Amino acid sequence: MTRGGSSTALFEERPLRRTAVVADADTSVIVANVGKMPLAAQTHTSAFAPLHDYGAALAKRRAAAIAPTRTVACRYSTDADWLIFVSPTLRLVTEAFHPAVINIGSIDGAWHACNMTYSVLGFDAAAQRFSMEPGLLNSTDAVLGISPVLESRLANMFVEARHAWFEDGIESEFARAFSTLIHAYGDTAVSAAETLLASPTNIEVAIEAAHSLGEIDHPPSLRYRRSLLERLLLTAPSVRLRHGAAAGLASIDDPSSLTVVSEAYARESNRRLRQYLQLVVEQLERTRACRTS
Amino acid sequence: MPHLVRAALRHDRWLETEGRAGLDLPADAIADLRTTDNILSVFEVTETVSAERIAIALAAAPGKKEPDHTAYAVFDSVAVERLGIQITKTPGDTIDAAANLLHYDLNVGTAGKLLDLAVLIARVPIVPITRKRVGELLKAGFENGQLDHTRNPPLRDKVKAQIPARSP
Repeated sequence: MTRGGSSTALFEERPLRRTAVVADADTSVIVANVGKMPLAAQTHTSAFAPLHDYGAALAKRRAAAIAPTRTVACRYSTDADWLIFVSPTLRLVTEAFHPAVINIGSIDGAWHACNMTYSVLGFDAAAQRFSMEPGLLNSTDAVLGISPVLESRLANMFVEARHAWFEDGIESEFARAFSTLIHAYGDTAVSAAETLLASPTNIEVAIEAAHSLGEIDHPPSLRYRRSLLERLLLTAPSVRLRHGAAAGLASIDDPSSLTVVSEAYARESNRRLRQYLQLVVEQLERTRACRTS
Repeated sequence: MPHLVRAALRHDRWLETEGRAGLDLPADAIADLRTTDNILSVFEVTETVSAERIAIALAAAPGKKEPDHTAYAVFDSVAVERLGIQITKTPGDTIDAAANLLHYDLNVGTAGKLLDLAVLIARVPIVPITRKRVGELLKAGFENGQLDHTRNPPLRDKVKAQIPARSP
């Protein structure tokens, strides 16, 4: 971890999926989409608040955790461009987790939702294992194997829903089950959906999922759902799925999506989708005006 | 009766339909024109009852518990008649009494005519309404009495419509 200055030397590109980021450590936890990191062509400097939260959580456990040989490594990764940042090993002392100024580099000039992987190292078998703090480190995350299980369950839901008739204004069985998963597993369920939406086998179900991502009332996963929809809007090969993502973002109605929706509008070649995106832009602008007045 | 509206469309199903011949239309777009007894339900657009109002009347149908995005298409009734599709006035069953008076059945009859009609609809603008806007219009419709709030209380409550108390 470097303070101040700017360097991209710390970054390495690796073709790793999120689930592959888990290290061969005593304990390793992935926190999906803890925040957005500024990634640009040049190196940026950014304060990364969740690190502080993590530090606070660690501080509570300091009595159990502090030992000269116990260390924490933090990794930051994005699926979008395979960027992986591995911090130097950190000692388990409170000071190490104060809000840190870290340098984040990038390849493609976009903002990406990032994941953090914490690896707690150096515990011997007899030592008390590091406890995860509810709400900060999700106990249902990949380290426990839940994420693959969720992906499998969600994949089955996608298959089962392929013959469903989706009607506006009536909650489908798929949407109801998807909502239940997100309420139960939060970001981990969203992460599973992200994997499936990357190459959907049934476009109607994928669109229904995108709509649901925007409509589900679950504030803890809102940021991840929004960033996933933004990514889909910009990158989905299917024009209909891009439309679904735009509809999801319209349902969330967060003016912070304005930049992405405007960019999508400028890029879009399908005339009808452009008209729809214009409608979403106007709605978000009205919402922004309401909130600032 | 120069203009008809087909509402409750899914906008995304019509994204890739412009300029296509009937047999080249995406099948999902045809699925948006579900017939019953070979009949398709449409409404007349008038100066007092807009296409948007009819779209909202259908978005408020009993059984719908959430406002949701929707879309509609307005097309020429003469062009429909030219396709050999018979237009018959019948009572509507929405919760908007004024819209119900403007309901028509299109006796499509065959799959070929349904495709012709789909091509006709694909040529006109498919007008989307966002979920938020649908919610606003539903609320207004319940509050101003255009929509009969007693026929869909869950939706009325969902959009937080304030129904004025009846005067004695």
